[in-house]
Amino acid sequence: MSHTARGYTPETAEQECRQDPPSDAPDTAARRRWMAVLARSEIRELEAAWRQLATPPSHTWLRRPETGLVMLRARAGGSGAKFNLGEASVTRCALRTDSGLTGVAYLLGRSHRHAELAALFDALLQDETRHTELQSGLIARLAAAQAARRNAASRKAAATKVDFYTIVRGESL
Amino acid sequence: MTALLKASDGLLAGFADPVFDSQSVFRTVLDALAHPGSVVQIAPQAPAPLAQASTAICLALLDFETPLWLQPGLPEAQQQLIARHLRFHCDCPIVAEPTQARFALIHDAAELPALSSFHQGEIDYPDRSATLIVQVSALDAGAGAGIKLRGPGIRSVTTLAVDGLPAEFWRQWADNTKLFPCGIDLIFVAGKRIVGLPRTTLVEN
Repeated sequence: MSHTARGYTPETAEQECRQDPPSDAPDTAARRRWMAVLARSEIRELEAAWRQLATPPSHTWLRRPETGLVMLRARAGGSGAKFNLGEASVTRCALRTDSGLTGVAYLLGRSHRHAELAALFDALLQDETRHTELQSGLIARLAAAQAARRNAASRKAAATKVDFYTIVRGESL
Repeated sequence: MTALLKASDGLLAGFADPVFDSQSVFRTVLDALAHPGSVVQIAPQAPAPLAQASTAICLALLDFETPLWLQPGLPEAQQQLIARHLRFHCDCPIVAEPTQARFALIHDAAELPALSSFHQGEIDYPDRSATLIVQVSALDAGAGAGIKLRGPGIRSVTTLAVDGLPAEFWRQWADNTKLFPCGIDLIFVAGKRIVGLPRTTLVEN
């Protein structure tokens, strides 16, 4: 039985995916933000935060960490035709804590432990009793550190900026 | 937060070892379809709202290219749970019409729609027809009673007893075999036991 050559094209699949767009409920938007912060964090920051938890939850896997590739697409000049920039490794996992919360993580790179910690914190952030403390503590701290890193990188890049200009050469005078 | 909890609620684990378990299930399904009418056991476990073997078959065979049709009739919550479970683990699109589906999951064999309502394949691409996974209450092969089957993969004749099929099923099956090379394939499931019934298997009168 061949299940790949059945003429069901990726385009059809894409269309069907579009029929079911991600919900933009405020809850979803908030979760998206903290998941992004967890994904961009450094693993040692998450390890440290995990060690500081008074009662770390145990969990079962819904989907063990797995690493795959995603195609990064871009537009030439930011507005031109789409092209494939290259592939990036992405690790994802999903788990359920003993209190029944589902945590999911998708992040760049191949670190399974990082994905596990990000998913665990994603689950804990959905716990109403822990949410405020984690959001204003861990997530705020991580987001500030990321902003600082980004700022430093931009400043470094900005220092190398070159302005090209042409001195009037006088032919038309 | 409550909306969030509901949205992610009810997800169940898939295979413990996705690669080896799905290979093992694939091999078992292959065996079942190569030896129509004989009972084979699916080993890997996968917790799910469905029969053990139907879940395992879905996890092993479905992907984003195989639209799935779920037989209606279950309570709404359970239907949602199954759809969410399979979408999460297989990424398969769930379609509303049987004709659009590459796979169909039938939880109640008594309410099995007519076999002709599924995609029969095209003469240029007979492999595009639907594969039905039909949950039945009991399966017994090689016993004295039951329907007699013959065809490729069967040495002379074998008998198969399936409980809970609609009365007109075997007549519909005879019509299905006449469409060869088109026609649907079928897998009966009872608990962990499965029986393959490919389009080449004929019913002996």
